[in-house]
Amino acid sequence: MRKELPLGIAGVVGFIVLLDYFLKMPSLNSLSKLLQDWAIIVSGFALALAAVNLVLRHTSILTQPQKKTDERIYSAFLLLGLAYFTITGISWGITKPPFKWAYDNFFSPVGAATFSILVFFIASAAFRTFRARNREAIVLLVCGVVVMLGNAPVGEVLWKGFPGISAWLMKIPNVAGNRGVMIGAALGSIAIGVRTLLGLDRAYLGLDQ
Amino acid sequence: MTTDRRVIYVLLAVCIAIPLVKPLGLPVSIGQPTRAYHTVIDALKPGDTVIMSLEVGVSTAPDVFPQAQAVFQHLMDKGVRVIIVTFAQQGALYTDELCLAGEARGKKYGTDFVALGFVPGAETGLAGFAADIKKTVPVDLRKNNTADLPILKGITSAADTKAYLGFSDGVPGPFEYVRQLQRSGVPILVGVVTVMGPQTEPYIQSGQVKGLLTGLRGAAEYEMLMKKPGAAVAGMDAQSAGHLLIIVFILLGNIGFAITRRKQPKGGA
Repeated sequence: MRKELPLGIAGVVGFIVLLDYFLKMPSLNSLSKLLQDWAIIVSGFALALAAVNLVLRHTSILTQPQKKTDERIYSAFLLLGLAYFTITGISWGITKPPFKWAYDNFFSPVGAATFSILVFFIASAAFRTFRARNREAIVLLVCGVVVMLGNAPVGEVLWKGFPGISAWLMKIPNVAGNRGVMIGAALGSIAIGVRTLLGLDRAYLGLDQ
Repeated sequence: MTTDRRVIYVLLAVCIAIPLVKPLGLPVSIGQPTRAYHTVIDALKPGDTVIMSLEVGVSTAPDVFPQAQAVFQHLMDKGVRVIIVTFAQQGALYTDELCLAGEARGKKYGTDFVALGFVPGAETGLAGFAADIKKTVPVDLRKNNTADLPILKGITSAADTKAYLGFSDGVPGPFEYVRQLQRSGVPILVGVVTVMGPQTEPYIQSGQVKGLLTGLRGAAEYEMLMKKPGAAVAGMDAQSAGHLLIIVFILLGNIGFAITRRKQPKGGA
């Protein structure tokens, strides 16, 4: 019963939502809409569950004497930030100064800076590993350089043809390759979807197939 | 010969910083997907209502949010009413940024635009929202009942609007927008981070997505089309310098590789 009940629920709910896509029946459509609303509510609780898990994990780091000092400092900082944003967001709202000030002056710049660090790693990696070792690598290298120059205004200044060639590469070879990948992924999704609806795929329950 | 990575980091930082301080004024040409985007927005009439969804986070906002700002400015100039929503956890405050920009232009919250906040559930949330906006979001970001808002009078689902403008850094993104909104018949316009541009191109060619803005370049092109160059255009000089330096690094690396390979004895000793 532990396995059969959730599989049954998943199958029935999945079929209702799937049929809603193809049929125009008011009772079916409203039932499907209700189930989707419930899914939105469950998603909200999943976020809360993730926050609870985060608190438990980092509280245990704080209370374990064998953990290193810097680990405990990072965990303390995380819990402090979590508490601050939760309390200010619930008490005053996310658009009001206590939350917004910290978001605009701490969270947003740190997040942007963290992502921006990637450009240095990309430049270093490009210098060390982007090598024309064989014909395929040469094609990849040339196409990459042309697209980069087509994307940046300096490319057009160097030669007016770069944007046109870059656009052609994006429209023809890129679309051809991506279409193949997308069709393959779509067929795979259909197969997984059918298996999930029929209860053959149980990975989402944490069970072996 | 090996090169200390820090040399690369310093060179890159200097090359990117200089154009930000002293702009080069490089010309920005306009691509066809951006022109198509602008054409759809330009065809909207005052009083039309569109939906704008911001699936951005703090890390990707510098790449995507300038697009949303440029497009929102265009919509406000045309008198189009905008329903702003987000399906990303970090997107809610960016929706509020747009509202503050709208109010600074003398527009009225609740009549000319509204921010509905964050809807959880990613694609499921998008599907529910597209089917019934007021039922999925009964209270907006500023705690007003959505049933009482003038902008939502006569609007039940996405099909009642004139366009869906999605700005995404991942999920939900162009694929989810097309999957859930295609059958409503609403024109879909998409703005994405640069790395998602190639994956979105097939939808442009198939006509499922009517216009595409890609990264900061897309925002810069849109600003040029509006004849109001702003932060995005200013950032293109720095992007040009960065791209050029990375290409120089690649060429230098390959020259070094070729020289090293020539020096090695044949037969692989």
